[in-house]
Amino acid sequence: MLVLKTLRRGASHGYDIARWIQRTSDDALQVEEGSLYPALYRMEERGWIRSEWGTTENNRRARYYQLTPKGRRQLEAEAESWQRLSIAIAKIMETT
Amino acid sequence: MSRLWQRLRAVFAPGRVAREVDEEIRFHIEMRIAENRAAGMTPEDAERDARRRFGNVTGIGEEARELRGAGLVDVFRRDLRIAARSLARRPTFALAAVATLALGIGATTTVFSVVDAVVLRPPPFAEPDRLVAVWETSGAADDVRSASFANFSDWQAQNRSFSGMAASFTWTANLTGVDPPERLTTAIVTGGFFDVLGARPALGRTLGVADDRADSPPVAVIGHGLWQRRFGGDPGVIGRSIALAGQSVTVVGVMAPDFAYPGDDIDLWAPAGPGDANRNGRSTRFIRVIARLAPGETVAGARANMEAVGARLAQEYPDDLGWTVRVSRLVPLLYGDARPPLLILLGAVACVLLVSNVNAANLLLARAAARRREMAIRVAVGAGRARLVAQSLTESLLLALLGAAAGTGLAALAVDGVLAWGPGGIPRLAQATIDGRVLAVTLAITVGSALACGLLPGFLVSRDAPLDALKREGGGQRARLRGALVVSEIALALILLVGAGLLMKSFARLSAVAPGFDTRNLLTLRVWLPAQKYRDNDRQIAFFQELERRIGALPGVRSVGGVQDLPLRKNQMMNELAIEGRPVPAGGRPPYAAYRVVSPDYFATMGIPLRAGRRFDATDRSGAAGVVVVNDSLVARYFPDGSPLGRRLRLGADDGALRTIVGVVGDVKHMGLDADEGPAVYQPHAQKPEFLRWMTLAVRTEVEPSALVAAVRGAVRSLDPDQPIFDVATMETVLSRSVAAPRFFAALIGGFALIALLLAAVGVYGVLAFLVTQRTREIGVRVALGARRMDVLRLVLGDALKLASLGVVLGIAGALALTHVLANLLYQVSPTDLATFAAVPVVLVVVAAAASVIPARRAAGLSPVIALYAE
Repeated sequence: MLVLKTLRRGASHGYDIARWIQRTSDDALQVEEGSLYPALYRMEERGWIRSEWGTTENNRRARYYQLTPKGRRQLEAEAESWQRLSIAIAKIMETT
Repeated sequence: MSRLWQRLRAVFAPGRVAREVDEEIRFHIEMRIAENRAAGMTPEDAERDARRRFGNVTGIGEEARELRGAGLVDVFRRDLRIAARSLARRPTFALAAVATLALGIGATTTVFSVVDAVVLRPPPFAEPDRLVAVWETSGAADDVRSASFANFSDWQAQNRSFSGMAASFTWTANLTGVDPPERLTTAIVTGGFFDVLGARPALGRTLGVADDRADSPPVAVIGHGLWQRRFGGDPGVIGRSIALAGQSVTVVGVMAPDFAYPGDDIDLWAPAGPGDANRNGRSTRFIRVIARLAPGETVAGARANMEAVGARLAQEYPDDLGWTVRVSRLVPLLYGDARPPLLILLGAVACVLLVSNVNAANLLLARAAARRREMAIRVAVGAGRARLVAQSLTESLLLALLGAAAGTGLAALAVDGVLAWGPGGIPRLAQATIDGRVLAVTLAITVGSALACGLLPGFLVSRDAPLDALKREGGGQRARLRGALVVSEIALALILLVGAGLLMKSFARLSAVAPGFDTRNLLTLRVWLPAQKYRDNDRQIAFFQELERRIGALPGVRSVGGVQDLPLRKNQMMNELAIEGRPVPAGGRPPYAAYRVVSPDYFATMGIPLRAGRRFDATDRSGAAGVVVVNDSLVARYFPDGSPLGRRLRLGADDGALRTIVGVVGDVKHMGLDADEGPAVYQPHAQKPEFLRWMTLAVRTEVEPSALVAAVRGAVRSLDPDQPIFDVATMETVLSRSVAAPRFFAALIGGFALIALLLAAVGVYGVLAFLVTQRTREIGVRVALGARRMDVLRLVLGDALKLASLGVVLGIAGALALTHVLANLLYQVSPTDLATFAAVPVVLVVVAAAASVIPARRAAGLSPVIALYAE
């Protein structure tokens, strides 16, 4: 979900995505950066994102990923269920 | 980029897709290094940090490539490596599975190569579906399918259904001027023959209408076999002259090896020549007529048209009265007889294949059970189910491929064996070979087998709940499944055994039939005199009398007799009879009998018993009073009231002289041991008609008959050095050949049944061994509670018998449903023969019990302490 959220900002390449996730989660998610790629490929397989080769500012070839309409819907659905879960957790917290 | 595109790229350019993945990873790491450097790290630290953050580059790369689809080939290769290693670790298991599959695949490949050559391959004719055979029948001898030349000419002129018609008959010609002289099987064909069939030569040209003209030079087309045998396959044979029946004939063409019409063993095709329209008269029916349907015409239409033509001819010519014309597709008539038994063989071998697959699946299941923990751990650490199934399939595919390699080797040997020992008379059998077509089918069978025996274990393993497996529970379902597999093996083996039992019993009955003469110490050979040299009937008669005298004088020879066609060669001439004082009722059919010309010593030499009157002797000369001898069946049919001796009859297609019956002899099994002898008339050789220029000599010897072949050949040569002899064989061999087909069939099905029985026994053993292992703890508890050895034995044997009896019940039901397809192949044995159906289950139960003895003894020998600590 974090990946999808990252891509809502616009197309980016793998390294960008990894950095952004680390930055926004204050380096709390200490996951191997490499595991991002299988995840990306799986999402592309599901049709949530698509990719194409492009060039970076420093003129290097890189693969850029962007959200598809389907991915956008998926993100909304996930965000919604996250919110529901958070509300549920919040309610539980209140009642105890 | 669309996903479809991505997949296609992965399939067609896996290297490129993999490179792109690598590039992406490299890009990521390089970016991180650059950033680290910018933050002030040393190059070494920057790279180390980048790699640490990224994680396992190789592992992730592999996973990523796999997700992209590019890794499929790699994955397969890795699975193959794993499979090979794991098989090598368990050589006994691997050997058992490969051997099992090799038997199944090998047997199937062999049978398919034969079925393909004989039944499935298109015949060497153009548009074979448009070809028909046309013949005349009087209702009695429909399977002869012959016609008279005169009627053929009229059909050709009067039909509206055919674009072409042609006639042919098989004859014989001596190839002389070569050493040794050879008798050739020759097809005499009318001009349109090759055109109607649409057959093309391998070399040179075929024959045409122009070759039939009186002033055409004598030409011939030779068969591939003769070309190879006598001319060493030399293309220069075209245009060469050969001496045929004393005449110089030019070879104008060579046919391809698969062209064999009107017979399977034709050496040479020669033109029929002119003036055949009325030769031999309208009532002599011995030619085979073929025709090609005109465009738009149907078989039914041609049938109606020809029946009308035939009816008109029957009104016009008395000889055609009572005869009707038949039209039927040619190809089924040529290959149809061989079809049902071969399809039965195919069915039987499919059973063997099924049993072998079930057995291999059973072995794989046993192995999967042994590896349950390993698999469970792999599932627990996250291996996908699809991966596990794929790996199980890879293993079974490897096994099946090894089995196919061994099986194809077996099949190559088996096809050679079939060609060497298979029965004669099956058209195109000689062309059976393991070629690309057959190999393609073998490959399909192999992949099918791999799927059949790999999917089930793989699926079960992947469905296994890891926790259960780790706790060694939940084996009950699998035991039931393996039980079901064994039950099906037993049922299939039983069906095959019943079939084999029926065929073997039938063969035993057939072999026990008395042929009506003494087959021991009898050498037989045929001599066919050329018309040019022996035109005169007296010269022909004198030749054979002198030949019999010379052979009879050889040391070791007791006596010699001759007949035109020997019993058990399934070839005979028929003749109409007119019995004096027994007019044929109006509209009725005249008596019909087999017609045999024999020398005086024939009956004594063969050991055919004399029932009444006398045999022929030297007084029955040409010019003397005409006499005949008849057989038991003729007396029974036409003289049921009293003695036939002294009665007189006329023979059809003869000079019309009245001939007196002077003797009665016993019946012989002329048309084969399984055929009933009909009425037969014997005529003395000295009174024979002129056209009968051939004889088969039977030489009764005092020594081993084959030892006399050279001496007999010498006797013929001393009389006429240009005269070949052929079909030299002992009567025992002739007898054995006459039952070659049923023997071959019984042996083949018997072999299949044995394989199935063996595999079923292995299956029973395997599943019981597995059950004993599974129930070790239970058995231990029982023994600890006081169960005795016998009780444990009974427990295990009881399991075996439960499986066996279920299999037997299902098998008997299956056999009852299926054995009727054998009905036409059985001689005096019912397809539901009680003895066979009773004996086979006993055999199976005994084998199943025997197969369970080892596991049962192991269970009985278990010490309770060991059993309880087995975990």
